[in-house]
Amino acid sequence: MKEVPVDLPSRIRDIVARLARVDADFRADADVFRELGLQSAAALDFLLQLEEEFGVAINDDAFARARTLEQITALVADLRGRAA
Amino acid sequence: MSETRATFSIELDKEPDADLASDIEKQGGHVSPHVRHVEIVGRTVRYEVGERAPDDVHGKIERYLGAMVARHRKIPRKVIHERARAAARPLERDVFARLVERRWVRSVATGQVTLAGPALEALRAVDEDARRLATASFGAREEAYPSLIPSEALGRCGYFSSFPQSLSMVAHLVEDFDSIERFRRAHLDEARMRPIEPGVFAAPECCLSPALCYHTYLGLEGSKVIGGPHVVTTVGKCFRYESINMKGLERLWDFTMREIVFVGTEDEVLTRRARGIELVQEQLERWDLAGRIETANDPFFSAAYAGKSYAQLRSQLKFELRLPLSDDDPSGRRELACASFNLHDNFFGRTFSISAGDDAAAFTGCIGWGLERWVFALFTQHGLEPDGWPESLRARVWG
Repeated sequence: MKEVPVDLPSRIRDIVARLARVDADFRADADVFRELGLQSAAALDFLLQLEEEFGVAINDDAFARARTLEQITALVADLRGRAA
Repeated sequence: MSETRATFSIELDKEPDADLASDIEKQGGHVSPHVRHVEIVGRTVRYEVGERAPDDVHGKIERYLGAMVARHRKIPRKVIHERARAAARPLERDVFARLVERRWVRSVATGQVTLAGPALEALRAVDEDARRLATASFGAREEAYPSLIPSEALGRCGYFSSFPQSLSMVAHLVEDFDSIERFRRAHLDEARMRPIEPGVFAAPECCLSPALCYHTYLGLEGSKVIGGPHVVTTVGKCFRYESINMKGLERLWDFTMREIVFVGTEDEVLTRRARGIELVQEQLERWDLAGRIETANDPFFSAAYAGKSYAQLRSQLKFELRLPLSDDDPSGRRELACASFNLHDNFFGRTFSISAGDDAAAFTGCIGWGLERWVFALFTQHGLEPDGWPESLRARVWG
C-alpha cells in the first residue's frame, strides 16, 4: 500500500467540489458523478486538472473505474508513488 | 456554370487522430455558409470557400479549429463485433445514382428523398424486423410520436448546448393581421419565399424532432417505473441539419428511425442494451452483411466536443454498427453508421423526474436503426438485382 500524502485527499476534494459545485464536506465514499452530480462531460476537465496538479499521466480505463474520492485519491497516490 | 472556389490551409500544432479529423471535417460546413469543403491531411487543414466568401471566414475557421482541438484526448475505439460476408462478391459502386436511375429513389431537395419499389420494400423489411425484435425480445409497447417536439423539452434534454448545429426549428408567422397580409401580398406573384421582415416570426415554440426517444422521456415525466423496465418501440421521422455533408441516402436532413427505448434501473437497461447488440449481430448473420460494432461518439459541436466525446467513449455509452460501403478504401471512412446502441446514465431520469427501483433516478438507453442508411447498405452489399440477395430478405424486398 502506497503512502498517501497528507494533503492529497483535501486537494482532490477541492477540485471535485469546484467542478461539481458542491460543498467540500461530502462523503469520501460518495460517487462523484452520480451522487455529487459532477456532469459526465466534466470528467475530462477533472482528469486534466488531476494530471496537471499532481504531475501524473492517468490511464483512461483506470480513471473510469475510480468514482469516489477514496478511489481517485488511491489512484493518484499510486501513480505518484510509481513516478517517485 | 460551376462556382469558382478558393482553397486555403491552416497548420495544426500536431496531427489530429483519425476520429477527431473526421469530426472536424464533418462539422466544418457549419462554420460559415461560404465553406464548401474541409479536409485534413496530416497536420494540414485544407478548406474551400465560395468566391464571395468574406474575409472573416478565415477567423471563424481558426476559432472553430481551436474549439474542436482544445482539450481533445484520444480514446481508441473498441471493436466488440466484426463480421465478413459469406457471399464472395464485390461491393456495388455508384449505388445512389443507380437507385435514382431505376426511380426507386428520388432526390426531392437537399437532404430529402422519396423511396419506391424495392428501396421502399427494403426499408419496410428492416423496420418490420426491428419492430418484431423489439416486441418479441423485450415485450416493447408500441407508440407513435409527433414529428414536432416542444423546444423547451429539447432544451432540457441538453440538445441546444450539445448539437445546436443540427437543429431544425419550426417557425410560423406571428398572429398579426397586418404582418400576415403583407406576407401574403409579397407572394402574390412570387413562388420563392421572400425575405421576411424582422419580428414577423414568433420564437420557435417547436422544433422538428432530431430523435424519437426524447418523446418517451417527456411522456414519462414525473412517474415511477415499477415491475421491470418500461420498454417502448416506435418508428418516425427525425430531422438533423448536416450542412455540406447532406448527400444521397447516407446523410439526410429528413430521415426515418426505428427506436427501442429502455427506462428502468441501471442493471435493467444495461442488460437490455447488451441483448440488443446481440440481436443486431443476428440480423447481420441472417442478412449476410459485413459490419463492425464499435464504441462511438455523437457529433458534439465546438467546445462541447472534447468533454462530451470523452465521456461517451471512456464509459462506452455509445456503440455504433458500421457497414462498409467500399472494398478498396484504405482510410476506412467509406462506411456508414446504420444503428446505434446508447446509454444515457440517469441523465433523463433526473431531467424528467422519472424514478425506478428504490426511487432513484431512472437509467435510460436506446437502440436506433437509421432506415434509409440500411437501404443504402443493403443495395451496396447485395446488389441491384434479386439474385444477389440472401433468401431471408429476397422475397420481402423483391416480391
